[in-house]
This record gives sequence, structure tokens and C-alpha cells, in this order.
Amino acid sequence: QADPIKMRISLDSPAQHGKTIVMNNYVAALKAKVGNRLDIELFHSGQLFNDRDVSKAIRQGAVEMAAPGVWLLGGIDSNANFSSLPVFYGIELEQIRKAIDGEPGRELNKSLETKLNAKILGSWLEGGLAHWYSTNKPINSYQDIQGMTIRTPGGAANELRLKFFKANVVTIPYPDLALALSQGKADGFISAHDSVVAAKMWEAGVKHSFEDYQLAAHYIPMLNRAFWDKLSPDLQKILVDTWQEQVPAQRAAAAAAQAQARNTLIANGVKIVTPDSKTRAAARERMMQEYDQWVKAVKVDPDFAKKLLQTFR
Amino acid sequence: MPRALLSVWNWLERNLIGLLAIAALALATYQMIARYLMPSLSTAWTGEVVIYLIVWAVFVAASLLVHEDAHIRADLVLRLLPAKSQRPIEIFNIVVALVFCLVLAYFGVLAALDSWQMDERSITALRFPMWVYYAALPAGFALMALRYIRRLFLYLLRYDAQTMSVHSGRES
Amino acid sequence: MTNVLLGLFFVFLASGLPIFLVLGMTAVVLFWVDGQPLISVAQKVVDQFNSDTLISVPFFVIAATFMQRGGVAGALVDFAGAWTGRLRGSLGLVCVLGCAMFGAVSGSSVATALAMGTILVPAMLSRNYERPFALGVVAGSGTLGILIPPSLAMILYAIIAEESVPRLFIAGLVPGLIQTGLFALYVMWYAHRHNYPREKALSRQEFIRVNLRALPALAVPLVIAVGIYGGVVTISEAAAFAAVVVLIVSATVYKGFTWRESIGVMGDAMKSGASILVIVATALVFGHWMTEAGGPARIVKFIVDNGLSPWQFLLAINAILLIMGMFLEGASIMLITLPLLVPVLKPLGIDPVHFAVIIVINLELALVTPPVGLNLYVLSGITRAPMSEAIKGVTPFIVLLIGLLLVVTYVPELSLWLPNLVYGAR
Ligand code: NA
Ligand code: NA
Repeated sequence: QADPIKMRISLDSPAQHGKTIVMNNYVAALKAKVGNRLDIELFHSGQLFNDRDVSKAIRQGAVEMAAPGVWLLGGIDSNANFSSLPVFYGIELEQIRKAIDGEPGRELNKSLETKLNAKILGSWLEGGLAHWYSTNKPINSYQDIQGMTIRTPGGAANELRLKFFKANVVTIPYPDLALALSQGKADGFISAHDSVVAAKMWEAGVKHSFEDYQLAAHYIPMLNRAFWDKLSPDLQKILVDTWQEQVPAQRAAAAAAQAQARNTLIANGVKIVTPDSKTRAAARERMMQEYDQWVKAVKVDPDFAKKLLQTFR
Repeated sequence: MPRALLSVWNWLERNLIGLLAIAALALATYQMIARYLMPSLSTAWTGEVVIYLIVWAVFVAASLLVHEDAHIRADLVLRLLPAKSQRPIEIFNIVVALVFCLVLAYFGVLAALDSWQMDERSITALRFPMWVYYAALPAGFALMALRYIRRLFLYLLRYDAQTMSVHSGRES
Repeated sequence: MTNVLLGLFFVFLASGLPIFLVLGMTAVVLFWVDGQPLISVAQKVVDQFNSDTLISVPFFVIAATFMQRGGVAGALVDFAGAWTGRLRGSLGLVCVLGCAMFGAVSGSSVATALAMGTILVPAMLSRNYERPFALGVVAGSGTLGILIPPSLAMILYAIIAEESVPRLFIAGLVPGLIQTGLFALYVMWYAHRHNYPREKALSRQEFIRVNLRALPALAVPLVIAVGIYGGVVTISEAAAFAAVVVLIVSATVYKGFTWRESIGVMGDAMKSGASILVIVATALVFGHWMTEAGGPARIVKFIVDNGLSPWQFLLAINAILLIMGMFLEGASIMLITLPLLVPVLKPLGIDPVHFAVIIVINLELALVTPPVGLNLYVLSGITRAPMSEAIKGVTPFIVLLIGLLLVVTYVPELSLWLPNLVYGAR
């Protein structure tokens, strides 16, 4: 009997976060199948690495598995910025899956595997959908956003989106956000229901949400290459199969978590306005006229951007 | 080492630190004013550049701190010993420090090269080449290693208990 | 084997190796023996620096150095002396209150101790305060930086425990004021017992002159406070903002240095900041190893799994945190323990907001307990005094902090009354 192979998993989401729960389930299922052939340990809450830094840790072998957000990988491969492009604006999850599970997603996986010296385990995890949130100024329509001061964490696409809706852009780091809102330094920000609930943002004054499905968060499960190569073929198969078995349940749970977070927001006095799909589609169409400009600004490869368009045809 | 070379080196480091810090402060000031008075001119990337400038300054300053023997240390034990027994202990310290600085300089170079080869950029609109930032670490530790090599030379071959016992002359 | 290697830590410490090398070299050896890639040590160090929160330290030091060299600090100290000089130990008192006020603009205790130490230790020494006492007052009072809002420690807690930042901030206020009061009383008692001299009463003319001269200097903290609470600058920017305001006032009103000399002043300030930041970064890498090795986590888990009653649980956790605080830096302590502790708070009926205050007071203790105590390093660094003097001076404040910790632990209302009043009970 050989020594168990060490498998450290690094997440920066807190204990109760959907991503942590999914990963805990994965670890439990794996342990049941591999016995003591793997020594699996899950570190969450950013105990080992922030997701910003974890892809490098995967490449350098400082950790065996991680699932960083796609938007954090834009510095490694700028095509990872694709999910913020106007094609994704205002649409349903089923449509988005065409891209992430289809050709564009596969192409990005391949490139990341090379650049990060990694093995992409399988389908991406789904997180929250991004919407608008505001404190004292209600957002009931797209027009209401005009002239509001909206916080962005930075990034070219965020800035373009705010400017598209004629909002004033203010860059505030996340740790400062709650205080900035309660001081009126920003009227609102872009986030997802679960994140707003986690930070109990109503205590920082959040009263309104405009639910326009701007973009979706995804996380890419990845393994360190040397670790992957060390595994026997049957272990490799167990890792991949166990992951894929969980994907449908994970995606259902993520959607349920958003719905639950939505209810929590309402229970805490946040008024949610949802533009209907026609209104969203109209906004999306106007935004699509700037598609090439956005592609250039976020440095997505033009060929890749074209393929993305074809996926939605 | 010729005295002139050493003083030029110190002079360069001192002014570099000051200039980097002033540049960082100016940039941070610009961002505050711009955001408050003319939001259209405010840019999202100043924050990260301020960090890069300050961190470069910190690593260069770490080298000067070695030269001035001003890195903070717990010298409870060392102070109790006579100068004669301080010397071998301090030589041990210098060797440990030298090993650490060389290890970090070497692996720091690898980390910066790694980043350069994969063309890693910051995830903001600026897309700053991260190797430029990472290079601060090997640069700082290489400078520190040079400082420690000089210090080793002094302790091995030019030891003077009067002036070189730990923190002598600095007591109150 | 690991224990033997951890013994290295004490060998390095005792031999007087610089602290950042003690932590860094121990980490390198541990990583190496574990078969971990050493490139990730280098990567981790440089990644730790890439944060908005670390960067506030050098800017606050720049601000303090400008104040000290530029004459702003002198004018403020004279002003405080004119009003409180008839009290014994007035400068010590000024130091406690000054740290509390500085804590209201800075989210970091290290920045608070560095800034107030730069300004007030020379002033205290010039009035013949014993050095250990001067170091101890600043090291101890400086810890207020993370208890009085804003607080970087509270923000990290909020992220890990999924709490609301404003509620946590306000929860620290009452305990922070109690700590301020306790320390102030202690300083007055100490000064009385050691018969510190009262300062000469100023003539009426002199009194007016000192007050007038202090007017522009008094505007400095006012402008900074208005900038932060009026919503002009963010917490992360407060440090740079303070530096700019002080630079302008120093160079135009008090003229303690010329514009040309400001490069040198900045360089000196950066050196103080750097001497602390290299320690913080290597401490975090050491903490990373500790997290992965799992030693402290196993002890915490043992307590969590032991079915203790709430008061026993809190006592045990405080004891563990006190010991961890001797060797680890605050962020590492939270990263190691909170993910294990937060999930059990609700079943035990402990309010996570109350627990946040308990944690933060433990982190304050971590800053002043040897051998790894950042505030001790700060004070020893800026004065070049031996560490032993800082430790000696801060000991009474450690005792007071432990007293505060026990009171806050077992009287939850001290932490919860104000936030529940403002945001409603839950
Ligand atoms: Na504070
Ligand atoms: Na400590």
C-alpha cells in the first residue's frame, strides 16, 4: 500500500457559501470512493490563498486544487474576460450554458491548462447572477441609473457597462464598500443576491435592487498538473466522474441559493424590481452595437469574440 | 569596497525610496482630487500603481535597513554578552540572513520570470505587467544579500569590538 | 521533527536575528522539509504586499514623520501641554487619548502605534519620562487602532464570518472607549505614584501664543476626520490623505523642513514602514505554513468538539488565542481559527458580533505580547530601544487588556447594546 497522495483544496469563500458547500460534498463523495489513496484536505475562507492569487499557486504546485472565479483569470488569459461582454447581458442561465459548456468554454479551458500547467477537472461551477443595488435612490428602470454614482471594483468591462447606462463611475475597494454606501459616497453597486446577503448590506443602507441579469459568475475547477499526472488512470477517472456527477445538483443548488437570498433581501426590506425579458433584450440589443468596442477594451481575441456570437445564433 | 562606491550606493537607494514614495503620494492625491472634483478624469488603476510604487520602495528600503543595522531584532540575549562572544553569534546571524536573502532572490527571480513568460497582467483595465511588480522582491533581496556580504567581510576581517558590538553607542 | 524545526525559531530569535528573518527563515526551512516548492514562498511574500490594507502603514508613517519634523506635532504637543500640563503625566494621558483619536481615522493598530510613537515618544523622553513607560503607553494604546472603528480586523472578520461591516464597526466603539478610559486612569495613577512633575503653569501671554500657534495644527486632524466621515476619501485612502494634508501644513505654515528636504523625510518614513512591513509579510507566510500544518487548528477543533458550555468555551478559546497571539500575527490568527469557530457560535448561542469584539481584543493582545508582537517591534524600531524595555513597559497594559477581555467576554451587552440600538436587535 503506497502512501496517500496529498490533495489540498483552496477556496476563498466562507464556510456557508454555496461554493464551499459544493466542494465539501465533492470531498465527501471522493473520500468514499478513493479510501486512503488520497489525503484530501479542504481549506476555505481564504485560509491558504485568495482566489486572485490561487491560479498561480496551482501553476507553482503550492496547492493541488482550486476553483477561482473566471473573472479573476483575465490577467492570465484575457479571453477569460468574455463573460462580461454584452452577449451575456440580460439572458437566462440556459443560454449562458451554451457558451460556457460549449466551444468557447472548451477553448478557454484548453488555453488555461497550458498557461497554468493545470488540468481543468470538468464543468464550471455556477455562482450568482449580477444585478444593481442601491441605497436611497430607487432603480425602477434603466433611466433611473442615469446620473447615479455607482461603485465598481475596477476592470474595463465594469466601467463600460456603467458608462453605457450613463452612471458616474467610482472605484472603491470591497472592504470600503459598506462604509462608502452608508456615507453616500456611492449610490449603488453591482453584485449578486447571495453576496449582498452575506455582507448584510441592508445594514449599510441598501434598499433597492434592479434585477437585470447583467452577467453570471462562474468558477473553473482546476488541478495542479504534476499532481494530476501522479494519479493512476482509475483515480483520474474517479476524480472527473465524481465531479461531473455533481454538476446538475450543484447548478440546481446555486439557483436555489439565489432564490433564497432573494427572499432574504425582501424580508429585510429590499425592494426588487425586475425588468421583463423584452426590456432586457432591448437593452442588450443597444449594447450589442458596441460589441466590437467592448471586445477591444477587455482584450478578448476577435476570433474568440466571433465564435461567441456564433454560439448564440 | 571603496568608500566612494558605498556612499554612491547609499545615496542612490535613499533618493530612489524618496522619489518612489513621492510618486505614490502624488498619484494617490491625484486620484482623490479627481474623484471628488472631476469624476470623469478619475481612473480605476491608480490604486494598484500606488501599491506597486510603495512595495518597490519598501524592498529598496529593506536594503538600507541592513546597511544601518536597523532591521528590528530581539537582541535581549546578545546585549548581555561581552563583545567577544557577540562576534561569532553575529557571524552566524549574517550567514543565516545571507542564505535567506539568496534563496528569496533566486526564487523571486524565478517567480518574476514565470510571470513574464506567461505574460501575466493585473485584472484591471490597466493590465499592468505583473513581472515588473514581482521583480521588486528579488531586487530587494539581492541588494540585501550584497549588504550582508559586506557585513560578513567586516565581521570576519575588519572586526572592531569598540564600534561593532551590537547596537553599541546607540544605548540612549 | 516539526517540533525540532520550530525550535529553530527560538534559536534564531535568541541569537538576535532580525525578526523578519526569524519568521522567514523558519518558514523556508519548514516549507523545504515538507517538500513544498520554495518559489511559492517568494510568490506568497510578494502577493501579501499587494493589498490596499498593508499600504496604509507607510502612508500613515509618512504623515507622522512630516508632523514630527515639520513642527505640526510640536505645536500640538505644546497645545495639549498648555491645557493638561497641570496634571501629572499629562503627556502619557495625551498619548492614550491621541491613540484613541488616531484610531478613529486609521484601521490599523500598527499604523496607530507607528504614527503616535513617532510623534509622542520623543516628546515624552524630552520631559524625562522613563523610556519603558513611554514605549509601553504607545504600544498599549496603539492597539486601539483595530478596536475603535474603522478597523481592518473587523473587515476581515466580516468577510470570513459573513457579517455586516457597519454593525461590527460600531460594536467596537463602547469597548474601545472603556479601554481608553482604563488606560487613561492607569497612566494618571502611575504618574501620581512615580511623582511625575507637573509642568509649569504658562503665563497668560504664553498660553495665548501656544494656542494660536496650534490653530493650523489643530486643523490637521479636523480636516482628516471630515475627509473620512464626510465621505470625501475612503478608509484605504485616509492614510495618503493625511500625509498630503500634513505635508502642506508643515511646508507652508510651520516650515520645519523645505520642499527639497521632503524627499529625505519621505525616505526615512519609508524605512520605518518597511521595517514593519517585511515582518508582517514574513509573519503571514509563517502563518500560511501553520495553517497548512494544522497544529493550532487541531487544538481549536478539540475545544469545539468537546461539548463545553458557552462560558467554558469562551474561556478556553480566549486562552488558546492568547497563546497563539504570542507567536502569530492577527490576520493569520483569524484565518486559522475563524473558519472553525464561526459555525459553532450559533449552536452555542453566542452572537457573532459579540464574538468579533472578543476576537479583536485578542488580536490587540497579540500585538503586544512577546515574542512576536508587532507593536513591540514598532516601538523598538522607531526608538532603537531594546525590545526588553518595550516588553517591560507594556506589561501593565497587557494585564489591563486581559481584564477588559474578560469583562467584554462575559458582559455581551458592552459589545451589543450600541449596534442593536442603531441597527435593531436580531
Ligand atoms: Na480604527
Ligand atoms: Na504577540
